[in-house]
Amino acid sequence: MKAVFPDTRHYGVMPPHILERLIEHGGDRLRHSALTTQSLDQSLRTSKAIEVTALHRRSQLNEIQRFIYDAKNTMELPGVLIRQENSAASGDIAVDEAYEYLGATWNFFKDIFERNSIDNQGLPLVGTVHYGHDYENAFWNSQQMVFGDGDGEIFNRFTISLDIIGHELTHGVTESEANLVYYNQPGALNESISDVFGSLVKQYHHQQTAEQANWIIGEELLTERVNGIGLRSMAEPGTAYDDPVLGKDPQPGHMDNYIETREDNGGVHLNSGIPNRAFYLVATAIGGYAWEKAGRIWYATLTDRQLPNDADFQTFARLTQTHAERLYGRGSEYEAVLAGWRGVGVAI
Amino acid sequence: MSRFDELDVDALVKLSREGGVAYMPTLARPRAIDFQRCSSNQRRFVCDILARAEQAASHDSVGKGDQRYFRIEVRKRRDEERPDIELSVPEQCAPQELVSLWLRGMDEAPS
Repeated sequence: MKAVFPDTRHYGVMPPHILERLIEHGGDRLRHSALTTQSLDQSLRTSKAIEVTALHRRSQLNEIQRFIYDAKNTMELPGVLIRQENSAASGDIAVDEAYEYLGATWNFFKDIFERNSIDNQGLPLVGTVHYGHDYENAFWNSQQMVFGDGDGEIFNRFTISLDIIGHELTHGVTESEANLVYYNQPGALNESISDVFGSLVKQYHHQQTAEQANWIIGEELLTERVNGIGLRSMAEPGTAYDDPVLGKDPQPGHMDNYIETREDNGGVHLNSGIPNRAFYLVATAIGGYAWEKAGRIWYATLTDRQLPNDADFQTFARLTQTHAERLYGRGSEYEAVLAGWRGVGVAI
Repeated sequence: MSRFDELDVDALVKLSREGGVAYMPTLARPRAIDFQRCSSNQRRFVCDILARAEQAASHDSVGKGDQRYFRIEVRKRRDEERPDIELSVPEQCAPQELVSLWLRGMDEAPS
Protein backbone atom coordinates (compact mmCIF):
# COMPACT_ATOMS: atom_id res chain seq x y z
CA MET A 1 0.00 0.00 0.00
CA LYS A 2 1.34 3.38 -0.94
CA ALA A 3 1.41 6.11 1.67
CA VAL A 4 0.08 9.54 0.82
CA PHE A 5 1.83 12.49 2.35
CA PRO A 6 -0.46 14.60 4.52
CA ASP A 7 -2.10 17.43 2.64
CA THR A 8 -1.75 20.86 4.16
CA ARG A 9 -4.65 22.50 2.37
CA HIS A 10 -6.59 23.20 5.55
CA TYR A 11 -4.13 25.70 6.93
CA GLY A 12 -5.71 29.12 7.16
CA VAL A 13 -4.62 32.70 6.80
CA MET A 14 -3.36 32.66 10.35
CA PRO A 15 0.01 30.98 10.73
CA PRO A 16 -0.64 27.26 10.35
CA HIS A 17 -0.53 24.81 13.17
CA ILE A 18 2.94 23.63 12.29
CA LEU A 19 4.28 27.13 11.91
CA GLU A 20 2.82 28.03 15.28
CA ARG A 21 4.52 25.02 16.79
CA LEU A 22 7.81 25.97 15.21
CA ILE A 23 7.57 29.57 16.36
CA GLU A 24 6.40 28.66 19.84
CA HIS A 25 9.11 26.10 20.34
CA GLY A 26 11.77 27.57 18.15
CA GLY A 27 12.96 30.28 20.49
CA ASP A 28 14.12 33.81 19.82
CA ARG A 29 16.99 32.91 17.54
CA LEU A 30 14.81 30.83 15.24
CA ARG A 31 12.24 33.60 15.02
CA HIS A 32 14.98 36.07 14.28
CA SER A 33 16.28 33.75 11.58
CA ALA A 34 12.88 33.66 9.94
CA LEU A 35 12.48 37.40 10.08
CA THR A 36 15.91 38.19 8.69
CA THR A 37 15.30 35.93 5.70
CA GLN A 38 13.32 38.68 4.07
CA SER A 39 15.99 41.35 4.08
CA LEU A 40 18.61 38.84 3.03
CA ASP A 41 16.55 37.70 0.12
CA GLN A 42 16.30 41.31 -0.94
CA SER A 43 20.08 41.62 -0.99
CA LEU A 44 20.28 38.45 -3.02
CA ARG A 45 17.84 39.69 -5.60
CA THR A 46 19.80 42.85 -6.11
CA SER A 47 23.09 41.06 -6.34
CA LYS A 48 24.79 40.66 -9.66
CA ALA A 49 25.26 37.07 -10.62
CA ILE A 50 28.89 36.24 -11.15
CA GLU A 51 29.90 33.26 -13.23
CA VAL A 52 32.20 31.72 -10.69
CA THR A 53 33.53 29.14 -13.10
CA ALA A 54 34.91 31.96 -15.20
CA LEU A 55 37.04 33.10 -12.27
CA HIS A 56 39.11 29.93 -12.06
CA ARG A 57 40.84 27.93 -14.75
CA ARG A 58 40.67 24.17 -14.84
CA SER A 59 43.60 22.16 -13.63
CA GLN A 60 45.50 20.61 -16.51
CA LEU A 61 47.53 18.44 -14.13
CA ASN A 62 44.83 16.38 -12.46
CA GLU A 63 45.47 18.30 -9.27
CA ILE A 64 42.98 19.68 -6.82
CA GLN A 65 42.20 23.39 -6.84
CA ARG A 66 40.15 24.77 -3.97
CA PHE A 67 38.82 28.29 -3.54
CA ILE A 68 36.91 29.16 -0.37
CA TYR A 69 35.00 32.43 -0.25
CA ASP A 70 33.21 34.23 2.56
CA ALA A 71 29.79 35.74 1.77
CA LYS A 72 30.06 37.70 5.03
CA ASN A 73 26.44 36.94 5.87
CA THR A 74 25.10 38.32 2.62
CA MET A 75 23.63 36.21 -0.15
CA GLU A 76 25.98 37.46 -2.82
CA LEU A 77 28.12 34.85 -4.52
CA PRO A 78 30.89 33.99 -4.56
CA GLY A 79 31.89 36.56 -1.88
CA VAL A 80 35.42 37.41 -0.74
CA LEU A 81 38.21 34.92 -1.43
CA ILE A 82 39.68 33.77 1.88
CA ARG A 83 41.65 30.62 1.19
CA GLN A 84 42.94 28.85 -1.89
CA GLU A 85 45.07 25.84 -2.69
CA ASN A 86 48.16 25.43 -0.52
CA SER A 87 47.43 28.52 1.55
CA ALA A 88 47.51 28.29 5.34
CA ALA A 89 44.50 27.69 7.51
CA SER A 90 42.47 30.84 7.93
CA GLY A 91 41.43 30.33 11.55
CA ASP A 92 37.78 30.57 10.50
CA ILE A 93 36.41 27.11 11.25
CA ALA A 94 33.82 27.22 8.47
CA VAL A 95 36.44 28.21 5.88
CA ASP A 96 38.86 25.55 7.05
CA GLU A 97 36.24 22.79 7.28
CA ALA A 98 35.04 23.60 3.78
CA TYR A 99 38.63 23.52 2.51
CA GLU A 100 39.39 20.21 4.21
CA TYR A 101 36.18 18.43 3.29
CA LEU A 102 36.15 19.60 -0.32
CA GLY A 103 39.61 18.07 -0.43
CA ALA A 104 38.45 14.83 1.18
CA THR A 105 35.69 14.51 -1.40
CA TRP A 106 38.02 15.26 -4.30
CA ASN A 107 40.51 12.68 -2.96
CA PHE A 108 37.83 10.04 -2.60
CA PHE A 109 36.71 10.31 -6.21
CA LYS A 110 40.30 10.41 -7.47
CA ASP A 111 41.62 7.57 -5.29
CA ILE A 112 38.73 5.19 -5.75
CA PHE A 113 37.37 6.00 -9.21
CA GLU A 114 40.26 7.91 -10.81
CA ARG A 115 37.86 10.77 -11.37
CA ASN A 116 39.37 14.18 -12.06
CA SER A 117 37.12 16.39 -9.95
CA ILE A 118 33.36 16.80 -10.19
CA ASP A 119 33.12 16.85 -13.96
CA ASN A 120 36.11 14.52 -14.51
CA GLN A 121 37.72 17.43 -16.35
CA GLY A 122 39.47 19.18 -13.48
CA LEU A 123 36.72 21.54 -12.36
CA PRO A 124 38.05 23.81 -9.59
CA LEU A 125 36.20 23.32 -6.31
CA VAL A 126 34.62 26.54 -5.15
CA GLY A 127 32.81 26.95 -1.86
CA THR A 128 31.22 29.94 -0.17
CA VAL A 129 30.70 29.94 3.60
CA HIS A 130 28.75 32.28 5.90
CA TYR A 131 26.01 32.58 3.31
CA GLY A 132 23.11 34.64 4.63
CA HIS A 133 22.16 35.08 8.26
CA ASP A 134 21.51 31.86 10.15
CA TYR A 135 20.91 30.26 6.75
CA GLU A 136 19.70 26.69 7.28
CA ASN A 137 20.96 24.96 4.19
CA ALA A 138 23.85 23.92 1.98
CA PHE A 139 23.51 23.51 -1.76
CA TRP A 140 25.21 23.01 -5.11
CA ASN A 141 24.19 25.62 -7.70
CA SER A 142 25.79 23.91 -10.70
CA GLN A 143 28.92 25.99 -10.27
CA GLN A 144 29.89 25.93 -6.63
CA MET A 145 28.97 24.85 -3.12
CA VAL A 146 27.25 27.20 -0.72
CA PHE A 147 27.08 26.78 3.07
CA GLY A 148 24.88 28.50 5.60
CA ASP A 149 25.81 28.91 9.24
CA GLY A 150 22.62 27.27 10.48
CA ASP A 151 20.35 28.91 13.01
CA GLY A 152 22.17 27.46 16.02
CA GLU A 153 18.91 26.11 17.41
CA ILE A 154 18.03 23.34 14.98
CA PHE A 155 21.04 23.29 12.68
CA ASN A 156 24.74 23.77 13.27
CA ARG A 157 26.95 25.25 10.55
CA PHE A 158 26.66 23.23 7.36
CA THR A 159 30.41 22.84 6.88
CA ILE A 160 30.52 20.59 9.91
CA SER A 161 29.41 17.43 8.12
CA LEU A 162 31.79 15.73 5.72
CA ASP A 163 29.04 13.58 4.25
CA ILE A 164 26.90 16.64 3.54
CA ILE A 165 29.77 18.18 1.58
CA GLY A 166 30.25 14.88 -0.22
CA HIS A 167 26.50 14.78 -0.84
CA GLU A 168 26.43 18.24 -2.43
CA LEU A 169 29.48 17.69 -4.61
CA THR A 170 28.01 14.40 -5.78
CA HIS A 171 25.09 16.40 -7.12
CA GLY A 172 27.69 17.94 -9.42
CA VAL A 173 28.94 14.50 -10.41
CA THR A 174 25.42 13.31 -11.17
CA GLU A 175 24.76 16.49 -13.14
CA SER A 176 27.77 15.80 -15.37
CA GLU A 177 26.87 12.11 -15.82
CA ALA A 178 23.30 10.80 -15.91
CA ASN A 179 21.84 14.22 -15.02
CA LEU A 180 18.85 12.54 -13.42
CA VAL A 181 15.67 14.59 -13.60
CA TYR A 182 14.99 16.17 -10.23
CA TYR A 183 11.45 14.87 -9.79
CA ASN A 184 9.72 11.71 -8.58
CA GLN A 185 11.80 8.50 -8.81
CA PRO A 186 14.71 9.84 -10.90
CA GLY A 187 14.89 12.75 -8.47
CA ALA A 188 14.88 10.37 -5.50
CA LEU A 189 17.68 8.43 -7.20
CA ASN A 190 19.55 11.70 -7.67
CA GLU A 191 19.24 12.36 -3.94
CA SER A 192 20.08 8.79 -2.98
CA ILE A 193 23.24 8.78 -5.11
CA SER A 194 24.36 11.90 -3.26
CA ASP A 195 23.70 10.19 0.07
CA VAL A 196 25.50 7.03 -1.04
CA PHE A 197 28.68 8.78 -2.15
CA GLY A 198 28.47 11.35 0.65
CA SER A 199 28.45 8.48 3.12
CA LEU A 200 31.26 6.71 1.27
CA VAL A 201 33.39 9.86 1.35
CA LYS A 202 33.00 9.89 5.12
CA GLN A 203 33.64 6.16 5.49
CA TYR A 204 36.76 6.41 3.31
CA HIS A 205 38.02 9.42 5.25
CA HIS A 206 37.65 7.52 8.53
CA GLN A 207 38.62 4.14 6.99
CA GLN A 208 35.43 2.51 8.26
CA THR A 209 34.05 -0.80 7.05
CA ALA A 210 30.37 -1.15 6.21
CA GLU A 211 29.87 -2.73 9.61
CA GLN A 212 31.65 0.09 11.45
CA ALA A 213 29.86 2.92 9.66
CA ASN A 214 26.70 4.30 11.22
CA TRP A 215 25.09 5.17 7.85
CA ILE A 216 23.68 8.42 9.25
CA ILE A 217 23.63 11.44 6.92
CA GLY A 218 24.43 14.77 8.56
CA GLU A 219 24.95 13.41 12.06
CA GLU A 220 26.75 16.56 13.21
CA LEU A 221 24.19 18.95 11.75
CA LEU A 222 21.41 18.82 14.31
CA THR A 223 22.05 20.71 17.52
CA GLU A 224 21.85 18.99 20.87
CA ARG A 225 18.45 20.61 21.38
CA VAL A 226 16.98 18.40 18.67
CA ASN A 227 15.88 14.88 19.46
CA GLY A 228 17.61 13.25 16.54
CA ILE A 229 20.81 11.65 15.32
CA GLY A 230 21.00 13.26 11.86
CA LEU A 231 19.05 14.17 8.76
CA ARG A 232 18.59 10.66 7.43
CA SER A 233 19.41 7.06 8.25
CA MET A 234 20.42 4.93 5.28
CA ALA A 235 20.20 1.77 7.40
CA GLU A 236 16.78 2.49 8.89
CA PRO A 237 15.07 5.28 6.93
CA GLY A 238 12.48 7.10 9.01
CA THR A 239 14.36 6.84 12.30
CA ALA A 240 16.80 9.78 12.16
CA TYR A 241 14.76 12.19 14.29
CA ASP A 242 11.52 12.46 16.21
CA ASP A 243 11.32 15.93 17.66
CA PRO A 244 8.63 18.31 18.95
CA VAL A 245 9.82 21.05 16.56
CA LEU A 246 10.90 19.05 13.51
CA GLY A 247 8.33 16.28 13.74
CA LYS A 248 9.22 12.72 12.81
CA ASP A 249 11.60 11.64 10.05
CA PRO A 250 9.20 10.81 7.18
CA GLN A 251 11.48 8.67 5.00
CA PRO A 252 10.25 5.26 3.84
CA GLY A 253 12.65 2.34 3.46
CA HIS A 254 10.46 0.05 1.35
CA MET A 255 8.27 0.37 -1.74
CA ASP A 256 5.28 -0.63 0.37
CA ASN A 257 5.54 2.79 2.00
CA TYR A 258 6.43 4.79 -1.11
CA ILE A 259 5.15 8.34 -0.68
CA GLU A 260 3.03 9.82 -3.47
CA THR A 261 3.25 13.57 -3.07
CA ARG A 262 3.56 16.76 -5.06
CA GLU A 263 5.69 18.29 -2.33
CA ASP A 264 9.48 18.11 -2.32
CA ASN A 265 9.58 17.68 -6.11
CA GLY A 266 7.58 14.51 -5.79
CA GLY A 267 9.30 13.36 -2.62
CA VAL A 268 12.91 13.36 -3.80
CA HIS A 269 14.25 13.64 -0.24
CA LEU A 270 11.60 11.25 1.05
CA ASN A 271 11.59 8.25 -1.28
CA SER A 272 15.39 8.38 -1.54
CA GLY A 273 15.22 6.32 1.64
CA ILE A 274 14.31 3.29 -0.49
CA PRO A 275 17.42 3.17 -2.74
CA ASN A 276 19.48 4.35 0.25
CA ARG A 277 18.49 1.27 2.21
CA ALA A 278 19.06 -0.92 -0.84
CA PHE A 279 22.65 0.30 -0.99
CA TYR A 280 23.09 -0.24 2.73
CA LEU A 281 21.79 -3.81 2.42
CA VAL A 282 24.11 -4.52 -0.52
CA ALA A 283 27.16 -2.99 1.18
CA THR A 284 26.66 -4.79 4.48
CA ALA A 285 25.92 -8.10 2.76
CA ILE A 286 29.17 -7.85 0.79
CA GLY A 287 31.03 -6.63 3.86
CA GLY A 288 34.39 -4.88 4.16
CA TYR A 289 34.91 -1.37 2.82
CA ALA A 290 31.72 -0.30 1.09
CA TRP A 291 33.52 1.81 -1.51
CA GLU A 292 35.48 -1.18 -2.82
CA LYS A 293 32.63 -3.21 -4.30
CA ALA A 294 29.16 -1.83 -3.58
CA GLY A 295 30.40 1.71 -4.27
CA ARG A 296 32.09 0.59 -7.47
CA ILE A 297 28.88 -1.05 -8.70
CA TRP A 298 26.89 2.13 -7.97
CA TYR A 299 29.52 4.36 -9.59
CA ALA A 300 29.63 2.20 -12.72
CA THR A 301 25.84 2.50 -12.90
CA LEU A 302 25.87 6.27 -12.42
CA THR A 303 28.45 6.75 -15.16
CA ASP A 304 26.89 4.25 -17.58
CA ARG A 305 25.54 6.02 -20.65
CA GLN A 306 22.73 3.47 -20.65
CA LEU A 307 21.30 5.10 -17.52
CA PRO A 308 18.56 7.42 -18.80
CA ASN A 309 17.98 10.76 -17.10
CA ASP A 310 14.42 9.69 -16.26
CA ALA A 311 15.41 6.36 -14.76
CA ASP A 312 13.09 4.90 -12.15
CA PHE A 313 14.19 2.67 -9.27
CA GLN A 314 13.75 -0.51 -11.28
CA THR A 315 15.78 0.76 -14.23
CA PHE A 316 18.59 1.80 -11.91
CA ALA A 317 18.41 -1.49 -10.02
CA ARG A 318 18.67 -3.53 -13.22
CA LEU A 319 21.77 -1.60 -14.22
CA THR A 320 23.37 -2.27 -10.85
CA GLN A 321 22.69 -5.95 -11.49
CA THR A 322 24.37 -5.69 -14.89
CA HIS A 323 27.45 -4.00 -13.45
CA ALA A 324 27.68 -6.36 -10.50
CA GLU A 325 27.86 -9.27 -12.93
CA ARG A 326 30.30 -7.47 -15.25
CA LEU A 327 32.63 -6.56 -12.38
CA TYR A 328 32.39 -9.62 -10.16
CA GLY A 329 30.57 -12.37 -12.04
CA ARG A 330 27.57 -14.20 -10.67
CA GLY A 331 29.05 -14.54 -7.21
CA SER A 332 28.18 -13.25 -3.77
CA GLU A 333 28.32 -9.59 -4.89
CA TYR A 334 25.75 -10.27 -7.60
CA GLU A 335 23.51 -12.08 -5.12
CA ALA A 336 23.91 -9.22 -2.63
CA VAL A 337 22.68 -6.73 -5.24
CA LEU A 338 19.63 -8.85 -6.05
CA ALA A 339 18.85 -9.33 -2.36
CA GLY A 340 19.39 -5.65 -1.57
CA TRP A 341 16.82 -4.46 -4.07
CA ARG A 342 14.47 -7.29 -3.15
CA GLY A 343 14.78 -6.15 0.46
CA VAL A 344 13.26 -2.78 -0.36
CA GLY A 345 10.58 -4.15 -2.67
CA VAL A 346 12.16 -3.21 -6.01
CA ALA A 347 11.81 -6.12 -8.42
CA ILE A 348 14.63 -6.59 -10.90
CA MET B 1 -4.01 42.44 -16.18
CA SER B 2 -2.84 39.00 -15.12
CA ARG B 3 -4.52 35.64 -15.05
CA PHE B 4 -4.74 35.95 -11.29
CA ASP B 5 -7.11 38.91 -11.54
CA GLU B 6 -9.93 36.51 -12.30
CA LEU B 7 -9.62 34.76 -8.95
CA ASP B 8 -12.71 35.32 -6.82
CA VAL B 9 -13.82 34.52 -3.29
CA ASP B 10 -13.80 30.77 -3.96
CA ALA B 11 -10.07 30.69 -4.59
CA LEU B 12 -7.48 29.14 -2.30
CA VAL B 13 -3.75 29.90 -2.49
CA LYS B 14 -1.16 27.66 -0.85
CA LEU B 15 2.41 28.74 -0.36
CA SER B 16 5.37 26.86 1.07
CA ARG B 17 9.14 26.98 0.95
CA GLU B 18 10.63 23.69 -0.09
CA GLY B 19 13.92 22.21 -1.16
CA GLY B 20 17.11 22.12 0.85
CA VAL B 21 19.38 19.29 1.82
CA ALA B 22 16.58 17.61 3.73
CA TYR B 23 12.82 17.85 3.45
CA MET B 24 11.34 18.54 6.82
CA PRO B 25 7.66 19.42 6.38
CA THR B 26 7.73 21.61 9.47
CA LEU B 27 10.35 23.86 7.94
CA ALA B 28 8.31 24.25 4.75
CA ARG B 29 5.94 26.33 6.90
CA PRO B 30 2.99 25.84 4.58
CA ARG B 31 0.53 28.69 4.48
CA ALA B 32 -2.91 28.81 2.94
CA ILE B 33 -4.79 31.95 2.00
CA ASP B 34 -8.52 31.47 1.74
CA PHE B 35 -9.97 34.23 -0.43
CA GLN B 36 -13.34 33.84 1.25
CA ARG B 37 -11.76 35.26 4.38
CA CYS B 38 -10.10 38.18 2.59
CA SER B 39 -11.39 41.61 1.68
CA SER B 40 -11.32 42.67 -1.97
CA ASN B 41 -8.26 44.81 -1.22
CA GLN B 42 -6.51 41.83 0.33
CA ARG B 43 -7.39 39.62 -2.64
CA ARG B 44 -5.95 42.21 -5.00
CA PHE B 45 -2.85 42.44 -2.82
CA VAL B 46 -2.30 38.69 -3.06
CA CYS B 47 -3.03 38.57 -6.80
CA ASP B 48 -0.45 41.29 -7.43
CA ILE B 49 2.14 39.27 -5.54
CA LEU B 50 1.24 36.14 -7.50
CA ALA B 51 1.65 38.02 -10.77
CA ARG B 52 5.13 39.17 -9.75
CA ALA B 53 6.01 35.68 -8.54
CA GLU B 54 4.96 34.23 -11.88
CA GLN B 55 7.48 36.44 -13.63
CA ALA B 56 10.21 34.96 -11.43
CA ALA B 57 8.95 31.38 -11.66
CA SER B 58 11.03 28.70 -13.29
CA HIS B 59 9.78 26.08 -15.69
CA ASP B 60 12.89 23.97 -15.24
CA SER B 61 13.13 21.53 -12.37
CA VAL B 62 13.77 23.80 -9.42
CA GLY B 63 15.42 22.60 -6.25
CA LYS B 64 18.22 20.79 -8.05
CA GLY B 65 21.35 20.45 -5.95
CA ASP B 66 19.28 21.08 -2.80
CA GLN B 67 18.52 24.70 -3.67
CA ARG B 68 15.42 26.07 -1.95
CA TYR B 69 12.35 27.35 -3.75
CA PHE B 70 8.85 28.61 -3.09
CA ARG B 71 5.99 26.47 -4.28
CA ILE B 72 2.63 28.09 -4.99
CA GLU B 73 -0.60 26.27 -5.68
CA VAL B 74 -3.71 28.16 -6.76
CA ARG B 75 -7.15 26.57 -6.79
CA LYS B 76 -9.93 28.60 -8.35
CA ARG B 77 -12.38 26.52 -6.30
CA ARG B 78 -11.05 25.61 -2.87
CA ASP B 79 -12.43 22.07 -2.96
CA GLU B 80 -10.68 21.07 -6.16
CA GLU B 81 -8.33 18.19 -5.65
CA ARG B 82 -5.63 19.43 -8.02
CA PRO B 83 -4.47 23.01 -8.30
CA ASP B 84 -5.34 25.02 -11.40
CA ILE B 85 -2.03 26.85 -11.32
CA GLU B 86 1.31 25.72 -9.89
CA LEU B 87 4.38 27.91 -9.69
CA SER B 88 7.89 27.19 -8.46
CA VAL B 89 10.00 30.22 -7.71
CA PRO B 90 13.70 29.74 -6.95
CA GLU B 91 14.64 31.33 -3.64
CA GLN B 92 17.26 33.48 -5.36
CA CYS B 93 14.61 35.05 -7.57
CA ALA B 94 11.69 35.30 -5.19
CA PRO B 95 10.11 38.78 -4.92
CA GLN B 96 10.37 40.21 -1.44
CA GLU B 97 6.60 40.47 -1.21
CA LEU B 98 6.28 36.73 -1.79
CA VAL B 99 8.79 35.98 0.95
CA SER B 100 6.92 38.28 3.27
CA LEU B 101 3.57 36.69 2.41
CA TRP B 102 5.01 33.26 3.18
CA LEU B 103 6.65 34.44 6.36
CA ARG B 104 3.99 36.73 7.80
CA GLY B 105 0.79 35.89 5.99
CA MET B 106 -1.56 38.82 5.58
CA ASP B 107 0.11 40.97 8.24
CA GLU B 108 1.23 43.51 5.63
CA ALA B 109 -1.90 43.37 3.52
CA PRO B 110 -4.37 46.27 3.45
CA SER B 111 -7.57 45.82 5.40
